[in-house]
Amino acid sequence: MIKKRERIDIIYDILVALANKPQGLKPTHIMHKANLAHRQLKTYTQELIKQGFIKEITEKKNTKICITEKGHHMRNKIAEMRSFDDAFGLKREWDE
Amino acid sequence: MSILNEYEVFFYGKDILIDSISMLIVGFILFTAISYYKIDGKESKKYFMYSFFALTLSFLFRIIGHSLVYYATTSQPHIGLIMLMYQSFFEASTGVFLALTIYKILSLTGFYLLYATYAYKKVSSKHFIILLVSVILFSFASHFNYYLFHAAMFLLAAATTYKVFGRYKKNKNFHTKYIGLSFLLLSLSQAMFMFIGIHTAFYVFGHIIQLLGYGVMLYQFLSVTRYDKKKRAN
Repeated sequence: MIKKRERIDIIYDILVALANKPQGLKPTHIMHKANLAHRQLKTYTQELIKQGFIKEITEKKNTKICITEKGHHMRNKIAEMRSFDDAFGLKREWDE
Repeated sequence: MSILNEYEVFFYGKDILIDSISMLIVGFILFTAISYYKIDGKESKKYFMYSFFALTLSFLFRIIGHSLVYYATTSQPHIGLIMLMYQSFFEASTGVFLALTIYKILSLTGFYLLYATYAYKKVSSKHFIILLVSVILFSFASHFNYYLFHAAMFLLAAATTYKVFGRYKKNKNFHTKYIGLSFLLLSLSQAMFMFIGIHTAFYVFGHIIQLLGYGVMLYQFLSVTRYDKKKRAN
């Protein structure tokens, strides 16, 4: 059975997708790279913008989303936390 | 007072140093676990965080308790009045009793929560109340039987070791294997403490193994958080 991604995993996937493209990504590209539905993308981007992890920029009528310094820091922190969870055997999927 | 017979003279003070180092390691891991819990708020991390909080505090109370024992046995009263000596010793021993009881309660709670982190998906409040009452009763009872406390600690640490190695079988992460090894060493240290009655040298071995156990844990922790960070940056 494919395990449903948790909220923190989705946030991490969005931040990783954006970190790989410093010039920013169009919302549709984020949807593909982070494997999200439109509604999910809207909810998550709004939350991440509010927390200052990503920002919206408009160039020639095109809207792009970029990762901020705070976002980079958060991405690294989540990656570190995942390594920690894995090393200490704290990931719940090992129970299933 | 029977507790004073448990110490080797040459090890005076060194056990406090080992406990202080262990407390710093556990506290350091706790501090990081809190920052991770703030990010994802996962239930398993909550128990892990609580268990390390209890263990950090338990070391603090053990250090206080042992310092009081050393104070009572090494301080020389300036006035040679037997009554004053008795009074100072009595106060110290009451303090020792209190500090070591709190240490036992916190240690058992910490190790139980650590076990719960790996064994259960959720600890209900009813489950937690039963645990707390048993731990308090057990801690008082263990004042009358030294083995009881360390036997319980050994069982909890051994059960946690078993669970961690179980996780290693599934995730095949070599860090998990070494974390399991650190828990195994902590179990062994508790087993050593059980044999103090046979020879007090076991008290020394127990502390050295405990230090090794926490050392392995710290090394793995730093490898994961620091080395992996460098790897990610590259």
